[in-house]
Amino acid sequence: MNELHFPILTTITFLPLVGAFIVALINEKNENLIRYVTFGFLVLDFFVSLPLLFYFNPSTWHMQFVERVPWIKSLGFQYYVGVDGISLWLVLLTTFLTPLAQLSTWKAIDKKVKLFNITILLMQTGMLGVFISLDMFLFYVFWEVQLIPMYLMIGIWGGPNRVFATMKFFLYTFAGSVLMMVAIMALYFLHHHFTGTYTTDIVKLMETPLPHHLQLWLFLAFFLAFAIKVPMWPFHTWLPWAHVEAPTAGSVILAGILLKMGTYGFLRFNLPMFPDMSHAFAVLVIILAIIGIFYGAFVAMVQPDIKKLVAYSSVSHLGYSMLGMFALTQTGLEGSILQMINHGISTGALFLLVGIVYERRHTRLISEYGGLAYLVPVFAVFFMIFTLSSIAVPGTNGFIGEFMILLGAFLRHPIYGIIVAFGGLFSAVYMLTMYKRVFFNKVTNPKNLGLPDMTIREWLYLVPLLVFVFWIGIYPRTFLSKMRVSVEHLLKQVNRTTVSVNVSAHQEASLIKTVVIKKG
Amino acid sequence: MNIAMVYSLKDLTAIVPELILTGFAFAILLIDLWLPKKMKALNGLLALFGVVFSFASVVVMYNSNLTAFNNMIVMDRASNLASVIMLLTAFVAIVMSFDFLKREDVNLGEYYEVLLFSIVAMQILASTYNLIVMFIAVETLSIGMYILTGFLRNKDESVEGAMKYFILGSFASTFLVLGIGLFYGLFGSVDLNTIKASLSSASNFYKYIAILAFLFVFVGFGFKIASFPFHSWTPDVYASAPTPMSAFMSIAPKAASFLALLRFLVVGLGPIEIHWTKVLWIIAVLTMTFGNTVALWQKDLKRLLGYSSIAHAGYMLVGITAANELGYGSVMFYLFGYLFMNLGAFAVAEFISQKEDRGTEIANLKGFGYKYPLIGAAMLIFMFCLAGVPPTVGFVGKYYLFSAAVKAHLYWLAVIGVINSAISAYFYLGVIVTMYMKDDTEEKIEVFNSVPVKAVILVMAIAVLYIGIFPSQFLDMALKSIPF
Repeated sequence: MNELHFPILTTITFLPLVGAFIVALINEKNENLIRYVTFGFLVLDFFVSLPLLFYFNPSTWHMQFVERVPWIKSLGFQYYVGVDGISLWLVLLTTFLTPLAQLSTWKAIDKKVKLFNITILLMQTGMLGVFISLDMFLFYVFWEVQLIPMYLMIGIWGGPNRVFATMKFFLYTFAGSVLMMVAIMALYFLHHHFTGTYTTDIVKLMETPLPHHLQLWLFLAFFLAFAIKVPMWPFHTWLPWAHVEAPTAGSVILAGILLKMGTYGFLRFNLPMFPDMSHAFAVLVIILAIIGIFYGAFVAMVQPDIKKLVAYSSVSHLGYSMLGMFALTQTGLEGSILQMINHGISTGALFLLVGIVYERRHTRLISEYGGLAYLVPVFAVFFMIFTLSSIAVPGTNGFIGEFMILLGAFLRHPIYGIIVAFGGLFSAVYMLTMYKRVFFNKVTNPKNLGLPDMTIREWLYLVPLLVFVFWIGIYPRTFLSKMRVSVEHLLKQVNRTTVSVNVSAHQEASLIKTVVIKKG
Repeated sequence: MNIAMVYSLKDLTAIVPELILTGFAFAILLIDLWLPKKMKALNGLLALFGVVFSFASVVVMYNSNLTAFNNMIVMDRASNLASVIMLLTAFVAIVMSFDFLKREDVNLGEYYEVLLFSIVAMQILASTYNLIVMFIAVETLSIGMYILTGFLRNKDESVEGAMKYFILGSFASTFLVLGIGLFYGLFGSVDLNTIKASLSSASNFYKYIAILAFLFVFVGFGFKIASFPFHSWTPDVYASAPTPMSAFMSIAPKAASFLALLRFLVVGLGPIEIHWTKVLWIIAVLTMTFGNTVALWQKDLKRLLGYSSIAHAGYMLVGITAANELGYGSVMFYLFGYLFMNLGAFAVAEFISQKEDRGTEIANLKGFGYKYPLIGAAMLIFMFCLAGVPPTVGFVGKYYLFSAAVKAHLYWLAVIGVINSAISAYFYLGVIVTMYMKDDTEEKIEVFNSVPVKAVILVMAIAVLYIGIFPSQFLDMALKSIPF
């Protein structure tokens, strides 16, 4: 058992599953009760997850709140869960974001309400499982399990092209992850070959270095699975479809949490387990990330549909996260993780806001709007704040994340840092242009005249996000301090082999000096 | 000939499960004559009891290791596990048959009799190291299957399917017997242990002839397990046979044939493993790929399941190709898991079937998920299970099969295998799309509202999830079952 003498992670993970069973027992007609019960379970889950934050010990990189039960004994698979400073935030992000997403569906989803809420609850279990698993087999099970509810969510409650979108989403991710399955098997047998024990324990596998020549294929298999999930350019094509067709809550969860599974996978598997390849491929990944940043931004500029615009902006934002990660510096990695949280909050909020106007007008075309700032001022203010956070204006969360990423990238590869700095400019262009066209100008469309402003329920699910925009933006220490030691350890793992480029946390200071001198 | 043709009564203990089934089959034969038409259901109950008693005897003797009739019959964990699979399948198939036979108005005792006799043949096939006994068992079980395929004798397709099956089956059998003849000619024995001993000291020439003989024998087994290129009967027969029998045929004969094939390859041809693994590598790849790609175009649920079963045979061949203990154990585990997922899916096919066993087109499932939420959810589970998505037994089974291949350093085979699962996801998901994502049509689906069928569907769905989440003890059972 763990520090708390209570299986807290299991409780957090499976509480939604219990909720799903209870919701399944409620009469289908009783839609409001279903909504309340689901929301209740998700909020309860959030509160149960809070002790993680308070009892987390930031001074160690060791896994905490660990639970370990043998599962498939003959093969050495275990039910082994725990969190460190990296997964902690993703668990909290999940428990925080899902109830808000569910709250946004109370009016938007009016058919098959029961099935929808069960789906959300199941998805919650699947996502949390991914972030807490410390056994590869367990990880893979959860990784695949969460595909099913997302598939159903897009396919049943999505827009007109939902079947195509959902098939594309499922097949892309599934095809990527089955290769990861083979890599997991290979890792399992290789580990046995080198150490004589059969284990799928991620922590142990991270500690035992693999010979250089074996890392290549394994790295590529894991890379493909995670790159599709992130999604990195050019594996991103499923994402706009999935986002546009998904119902609002689906988009929020997809952008806010599911995509993070990809970046998290890189942190958990690729970096610590294949350090040589991580270094060897770092530049390639960075180039793909930069292409993604610009590509996402450029494509977003020409989107007539607000939701699609936000979807493409995701490709761009996650490019930053990948860039920071593969800069392989302390600052870059911390920025990357912070960016993961930020993207969950800002983009999640933007999808919620788009959902709000869509609920009222049933269109997401920018050209249908104009002058909303005069008609629904409160909504406009909310939208403004999240837009600013998305384009990383100082004082908001986005700024801290992007700044750290740029700094991290700059330390390692000044050229890329400079190039990417312009990416921020483009994101300002498309977001602000969209904002101008939707909220300012004149009110051209008479249909918008009667638009009601935000309701109390909408306030309820946007204000918490707003709080975090400024909390992270003004006092990021709360978040960074908890992840520091884990990131340091991760960096140590990545740098444990003798590779020519070798920047550790301690060397950063001297690097900054040299950069400054060069510039001077 | 110095074979002592004296058998003791003790030999009979090794075939108790078979004897019980035979006894019940004869009982049905006799009682059926006196039963009035209204009481024909009694036949089904008797058959069910036969299966249950046989199952009980298998369970009681599960860990025994007996040989009988001059080593022609063995009873070991492997044969017992295969028996467990076959008897569970038979149990479910019989339960599915109750209302089906009534609806189709063919409630005849022969149905159950032939079924029981063919299970006996399968059990014998699974428990011998003797090629001639294998051949006789294969033929006996095949005859049973031919009859059951054509059991809806008023339906043209059913009769046609039976004819097709019969002609192709006889063709395959001739190859099988030719191969056996070659082995006998080469080594003067039809006993696999003797063949193994002779083969390991045989000259290269003999080895090449043995490979030829292996290919001939494989035609026979390949036909039974529906592997490429001997698969062509499968979709036709599955589509035309009575649905409970399609379900039965997709599992029980395969369990027996896979075990016999394992014994044949691993024991008899152990010394030339390096050669047959190469052949099986190619066949496994072709079988998986063919089954999955052709399934993409299927419009009928039973045909879809037919092609999918070809693909699944391919997955299982991966386990044999790996040629390690994990692989062999995984094949048995996969068969065990496949039982539940496939029987469940076939039960759903029966649930939507109409008189004359028609109307199993996938399009008829439109809106099914909402009209029958529980059964729809079960079908959803079966489809994800067949596609190999956790937390179902389909995933666990595939994981073990492919990990056996990885263990044997057959990385490409494993990669092709998992890519195949990704392809297969497309058509399995297609079924789910039809059930949940096509607009609801107002037209009412006429379903075959049989309580036993519904019960089968739900029980199978629970089993698929349970074994998928807690596979440990079942896996241990399968891994420990292979004694060679």
